[in-house]
Amino acid sequence: MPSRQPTTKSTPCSSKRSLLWRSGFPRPPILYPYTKKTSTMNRTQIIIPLLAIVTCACTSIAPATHWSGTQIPITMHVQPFTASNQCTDSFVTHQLAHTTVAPTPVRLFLSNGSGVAAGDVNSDGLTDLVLANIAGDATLAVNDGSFSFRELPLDLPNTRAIQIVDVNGDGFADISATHLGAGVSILLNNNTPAQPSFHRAQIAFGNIRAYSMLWHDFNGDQRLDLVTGSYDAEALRGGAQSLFDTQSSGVFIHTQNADSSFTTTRLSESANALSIAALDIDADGFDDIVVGNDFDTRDMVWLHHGNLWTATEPFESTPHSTMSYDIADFNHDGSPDLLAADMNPYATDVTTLAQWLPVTSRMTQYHPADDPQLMENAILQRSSDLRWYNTSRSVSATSTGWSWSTRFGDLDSDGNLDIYAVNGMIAFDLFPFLPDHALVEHNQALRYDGVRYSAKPSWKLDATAQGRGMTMTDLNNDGRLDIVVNNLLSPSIVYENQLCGGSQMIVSLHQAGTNPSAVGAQLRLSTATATRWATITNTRGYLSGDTPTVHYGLGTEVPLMLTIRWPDGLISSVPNPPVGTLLSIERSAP
Amino acid sequence: MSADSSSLRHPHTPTQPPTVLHYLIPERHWLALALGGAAILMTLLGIVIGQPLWRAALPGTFLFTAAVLVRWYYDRSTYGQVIALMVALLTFQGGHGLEHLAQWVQYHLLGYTARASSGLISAANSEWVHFLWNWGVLLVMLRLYWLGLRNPWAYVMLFWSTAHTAEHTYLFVRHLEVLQILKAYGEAGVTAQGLPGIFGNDGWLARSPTTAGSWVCTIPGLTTATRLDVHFWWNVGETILLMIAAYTHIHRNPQYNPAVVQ
Repeated sequence: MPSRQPTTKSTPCSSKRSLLWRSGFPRPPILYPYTKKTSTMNRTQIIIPLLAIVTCACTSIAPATHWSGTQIPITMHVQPFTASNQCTDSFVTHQLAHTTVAPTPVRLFLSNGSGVAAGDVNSDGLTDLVLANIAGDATLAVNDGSFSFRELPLDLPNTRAIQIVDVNGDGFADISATHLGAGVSILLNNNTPAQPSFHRAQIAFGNIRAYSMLWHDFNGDQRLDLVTGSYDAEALRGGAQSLFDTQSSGVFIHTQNADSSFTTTRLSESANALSIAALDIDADGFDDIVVGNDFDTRDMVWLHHGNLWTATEPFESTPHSTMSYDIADFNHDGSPDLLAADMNPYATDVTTLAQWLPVTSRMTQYHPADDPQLMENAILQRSSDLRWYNTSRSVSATSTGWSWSTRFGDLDSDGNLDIYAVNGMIAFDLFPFLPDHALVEHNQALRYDGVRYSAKPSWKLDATAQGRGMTMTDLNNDGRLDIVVNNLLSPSIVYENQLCGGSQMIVSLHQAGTNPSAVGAQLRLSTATATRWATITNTRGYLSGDTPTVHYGLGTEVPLMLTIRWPDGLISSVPNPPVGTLLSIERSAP
Repeated sequence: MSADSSSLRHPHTPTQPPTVLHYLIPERHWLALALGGAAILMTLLGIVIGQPLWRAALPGTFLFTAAVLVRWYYDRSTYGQVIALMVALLTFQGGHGLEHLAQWVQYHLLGYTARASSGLISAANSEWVHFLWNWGVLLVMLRLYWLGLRNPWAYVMLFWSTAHTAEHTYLFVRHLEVLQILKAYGEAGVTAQGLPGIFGNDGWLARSPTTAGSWVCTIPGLTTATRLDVHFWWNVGETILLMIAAYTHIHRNPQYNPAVVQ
């Protein structure tokens, strides 16, 4: 029989209990072993574990692990940021000519708009933009500096998702897009910097229907693979139910071979995939596939084991209609966190609720007992048991409206990752009762103070222009994250970041082979107080793409060590990386 | 100096000193029992023949009410108004607790959505049912206070039921406001029930601009639970407090407890 211990025995949470007592709670009597009062054991067995659960739960998140592996030398190029011209503590709006159009009145699913991608297509050191268009041609906006853009039409009609990515590994950024009711097309860069031009690649991905996509090197062979997901709700609405159409639906991975052809594997037969992410779910060092689905379709996860993909459900909770994914380390524990956005009104006044109710009341009336879907944003953190737990409620980040692209980014460079969500909806079959059939919402900028998120309308990012695609990137090389939003039915907007204070560092990686930007590489930046995890990816947010770089806001922190885990598992280290610079790191062969 | 407790006893008080259990569970009152049993049977029958849940539960609710009234009538003449009213309120509160238990089962076990987890008769109109119910509880509590139910637990219960009623009043007003807007939109067929209240994860406390970004938004349960769970615990608290208040009243009152001395 185990001996009973007095309640005064030191426990992991005894200090918490002392705090309780000091704050006015009556101190319980000290009961010694073998008294007849069974309450002694009850307290020990019930209260302490409860307190442990409540007070120590936050510490159960998996701690950062150190990467081990063969070190590979690097060469480093340091380019200081240009000095910011202005400091107005807000964002300044620049309007583009590009407008994503749709036949009016806008019907459901055309209402979903299109994405926007950032990347340097003419290799001039300035980030250019490509804006997709659901019912027109996509636009290339060449960055001429000082927030001046030359807008050129692209031979890419009716585009949904769009990305700037070096598909063939020739060192020049290509453009990849998905099309309304169709598959993937690729425009290869002709490398004509003065007047960027492209030609259509003849790459066969089979008869697939793709809505969202992700380019990533999953197997470390230095070649980019492609994951696509269909949006079956739209196809079914269009009457596409033939055998051909059924076979073209679902989630596919197209693995790039040495001869630049692709081998296609079907992972699921159906999907409503609005967003796809590559993320190491089971901490085995290999990135897995996460697909965010609209409506009742649950989010899907496949673990990567060799050439096999195994479906699993690691998330404690997910959004109901997952609109957008982004991956970053918002709590600085050295591990990835997944931001998954949903539709949930950010205000609960009666007018807002009345606008939402006719739609939400038509949604599903049943959820199985094991259904992890909740109609709110999720921030999922990997725990030591390899389950992913939602922390969005504890940081007040559950509700950002009818959110589309929703991104992490340290907008004020204070060292904490803020959130920006673009939102709104316009569809005559959903909102016939609203003026112009539009649910008009303010885009939401949420600042993170290290404890919780709160809205920052003073940043002037709260437009009401039906944002859909959105990317965050540094457009003027001043180290601050600017924002580009592809609105539906109104001109796209570039927000110039003129927030004051903070410090930044941007890291880009380069390697030989057909994945020159090292997409899939992971980074850990250590300071005296925290370790920030990050990854190189072209795909972030809803239907949108990003530059293959990592932006670090650092506040007053000084980075001590930058560790890089290349896509093939080799490791490089950079001690004392300089703040205030664009750090280009090139890996030695192989 | 102790008074003769027999002189303080109600004229109809049974010779044997009663217990709380004795008051709560009718033993000889076949009519109340029969009505209560019929209520359960009618509800089950309604469900079996495929009636909507609230319609199936409605006859049972009437019979349950009749049973409580029969018991109340007997208790009033036997034990006085305070006991009769307390027992009636406690029995009704227990019945209302079943309503919330049904919601809890629907949501957590049967997999209904939060909006669809509307319990038994609340499915007719949750906001009206709860608004009227909570005001009823509060008025009865005030009447009990007036009649002499005065002990610390009764005061806590009075505070609790006032707060609960305030939240349901807030919910009810918003319900009517939203209905009015929906009517203006031409969407009169849309239900406006189950809106967020003051507490809970979507409630005013968690989502108000006043508290936005503060620790108040993340108080476990209070500002993180669903409305359904918040109101489940509102009612559990109400029932427990009422039971303790009633127990305390009976056992402190020499009229019912001979052991109490003046």
